[in-house]
Amino acid sequence: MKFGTAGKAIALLLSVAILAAAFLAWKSGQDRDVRPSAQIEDYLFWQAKALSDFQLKRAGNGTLGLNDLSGKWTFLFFGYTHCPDICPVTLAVLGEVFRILDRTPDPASQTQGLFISVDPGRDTPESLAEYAAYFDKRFIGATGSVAQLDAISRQIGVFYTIQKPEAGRPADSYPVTHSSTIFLVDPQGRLYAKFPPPHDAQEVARAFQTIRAFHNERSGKRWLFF
Amino acid sequence: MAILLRSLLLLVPGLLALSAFAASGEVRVIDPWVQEAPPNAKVLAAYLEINNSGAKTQIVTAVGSPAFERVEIHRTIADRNMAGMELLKELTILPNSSIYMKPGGLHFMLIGARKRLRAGDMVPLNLTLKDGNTLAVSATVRAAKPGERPADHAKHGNHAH
Repeated sequence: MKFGTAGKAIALLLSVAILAAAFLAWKSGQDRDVRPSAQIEDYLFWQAKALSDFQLKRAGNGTLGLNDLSGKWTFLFFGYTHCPDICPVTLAVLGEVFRILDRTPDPASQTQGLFISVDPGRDTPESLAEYAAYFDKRFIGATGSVAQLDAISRQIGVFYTIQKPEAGRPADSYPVTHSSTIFLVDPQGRLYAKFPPPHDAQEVARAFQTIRAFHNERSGKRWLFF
Repeated sequence: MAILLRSLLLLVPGLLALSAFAASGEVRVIDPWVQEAPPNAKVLAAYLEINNSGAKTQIVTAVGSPAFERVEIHRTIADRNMAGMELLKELTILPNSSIYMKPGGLHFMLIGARKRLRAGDMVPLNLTLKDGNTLAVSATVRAAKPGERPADHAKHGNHAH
């Protein structure tokens, strides 16, 4: 069989097209190389970190895993309910963030909060559900065994310590040291941003909107041009 | 002169109540409030400013409240990574200065509420000073949700009585 010049050209064009399509398919699975604005640079992880599955306990004998984070933005905070100051203050700030977002054209409907108690000795999934929902109905409370908590906290890169009660005080009055940072997990279940304290609701809401727009731009669908 | 007067009063046991009144000119609590917490919260926090307008250092050694089983003086220690709490034995207020107890820092930890407290409720707090005087103040419970905060946010000057 013999190809003419036109036939060779068509074959070449076809090869190029197939290669380009393959490259596009490969590329669309990755983030585009878009620079974040300076306003959100400090909050973003240098590279979004895919979380591996974990299992925690939530109210109603339910479990909570990575699947429950997919398709939504999740604000994540580690704490405990016997915490009088930083935990309720931080959760109240997050509740306010949700209400600020609700007043924008792109509300927080696809956004949830996750409060993970690192104090399973005193916090039950049921008490956590009630505690978290007080700040916003979109907040989930969860906890787990030490092994389960370690599986998630190590991925996020946070530590916690159950301390001894002060001398002469009841055995159940121990303080817990925990992370003070609010983490943001993207709808693909990747650790995407972090907000260290002090937290200001206006600032977190503003930054989140910019991060969400940046995320859409970076992972947006590409067709002919990329 | 005020110090002399107070020393004289302290010598008279029958007038101890009056000595607390005398202290009110020097130590006062400004804008005490408690953040409303979830219904099942076991602990709450009270925030306030303590001002010492006198020439002597004042020390708060104990705090109590009939609305709670126990009150402790705490400080939240938080940096960009970790948060923890420290139990303090006392609070020192230098002459002519204030200490500010605010979210994320110094607070009175209120343990074991006798009943559910809601925004608008008042929480009595009794501060004991090292010199034997006491200050009775009333802290307002405020909603965590800023939109629901009572309008009297800026109300100041909760003197001892």
